[in-house]
Amino acid sequence: MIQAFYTASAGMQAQQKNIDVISNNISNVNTPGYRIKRAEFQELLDFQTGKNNERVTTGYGTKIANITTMSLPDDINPLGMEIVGEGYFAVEDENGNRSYTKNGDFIKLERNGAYYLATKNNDYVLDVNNNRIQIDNNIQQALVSNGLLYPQGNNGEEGIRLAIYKFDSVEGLAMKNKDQYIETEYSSKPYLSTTSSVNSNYYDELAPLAMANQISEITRVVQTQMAYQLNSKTLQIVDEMAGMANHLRY
Amino acid sequence: MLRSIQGVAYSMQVQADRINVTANNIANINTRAYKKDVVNIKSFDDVLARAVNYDTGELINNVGAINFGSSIDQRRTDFEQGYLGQTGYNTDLAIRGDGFFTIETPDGIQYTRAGNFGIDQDGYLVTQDGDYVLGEKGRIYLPERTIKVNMQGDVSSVLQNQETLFLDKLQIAYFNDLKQLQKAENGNYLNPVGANLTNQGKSEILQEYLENSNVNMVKETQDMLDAKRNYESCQQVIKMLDDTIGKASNEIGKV
Repeated sequence: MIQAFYTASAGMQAQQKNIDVISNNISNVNTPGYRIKRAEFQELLDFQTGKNNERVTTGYGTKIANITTMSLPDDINPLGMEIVGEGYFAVEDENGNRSYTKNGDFIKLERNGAYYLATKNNDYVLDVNNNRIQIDNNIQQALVSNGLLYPQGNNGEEGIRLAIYKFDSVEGLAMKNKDQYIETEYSSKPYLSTTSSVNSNYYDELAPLAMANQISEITRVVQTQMAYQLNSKTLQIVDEMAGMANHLRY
Repeated sequence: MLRSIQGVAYSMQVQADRINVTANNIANINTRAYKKDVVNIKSFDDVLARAVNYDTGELINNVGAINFGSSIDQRRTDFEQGYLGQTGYNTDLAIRGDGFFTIETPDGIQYTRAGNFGIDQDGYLVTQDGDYVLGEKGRIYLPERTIKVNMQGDVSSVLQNQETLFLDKLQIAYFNDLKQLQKAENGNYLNPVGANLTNQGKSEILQEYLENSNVNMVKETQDMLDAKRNYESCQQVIKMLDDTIGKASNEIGKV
């Protein structure tokens, strides 16, 4: 009888902790790179041995077993970059064939023990001097400031300016594959843009994600509130029952 | 008279036990893949009342069957499917169907339906307690810490060059008799009767989904109010019986 008091209060305490976790998530929606935390509940069980040596279990509430830090979804690319202004990134394949792209969804490509900034189909990204860009293997995220990329982690090295080319008539470009183009006789010669620069779009990609999380967090707030309410209702009913037992004889 | 008070008192105890179980179901409404407990109530065995002649001990006639109340017969776990909610995290797996994930714990093999897994620091797929999730070839090692699971339970990893590498198939366990399963401390299930496993069963694995508890809020509230009202009635009956006894002992023979 009295057990249900503690069961309900254990339930309320766990929901309270859950609300703490959720409110922390909500207050961090705009924190770049913040990872959502999630409380994991677990049933509390009591064990007794029954008369035939079987295990008799009694549940007496719930507890928060773990607070997990969720990983960022796979489609977030920390090495992603975007062009501010007009123009195309210059990339080249293994044989030096040049093409142009606007897709800044770059990866780290390993060649002979060195790592290069490359597109997803393994074309090297070029800087203004048409050199491939070597990147330190420990770099997890594109460090860009004032349009300069610091591929070694900004430890005093000089920033690299990525090549951004413009064409007088982009209609003349020929399509190489789904997001890469090559110059043709109709597109005019490419020339380096002086006004456009690059920026990391890592945080931009996080923005819609944070928005989506905000919605799911609010849903969880409602769920938690519901569960809390229900547990307190239990407590109230158990209290009334205890009152009845006390008033058996008046 | 005293016997009837005792019978009703038993009944009060039964209602209190019902509340205990309901309270636990409600407390676990947000526990992943929690399966609610249900109580079955039974009445005590009937006894035959007979009228006998006091002097001779001779049977006059059979009065009929009476019983002295009720008690909890058993608590069973209701394995009904909980609803599946989308989470968007790829280490979250849910089973639609009647299978269980197989888990390797320090205490041996256990089973669970809670698919809120994680990847440990060595790259293995683990539960919240750090126990290994088993595939058909054993522990599941994810070399790139990425995981892709299809409906059939095939686990693969996406490599850095965007290629998918097949690793293993999740070991999904099915049971002949779910009643034989016992709850373990950590919310997993034990299969103490080793022979209970079968390969009859159908499941689909859904990635980025989690199974919620199968506790029905309305049903539990109704159960709780029902138990409370029954409890109240029993209390009233005891009061009434008490009054009757009071009358018998104090007022008979009063002028």
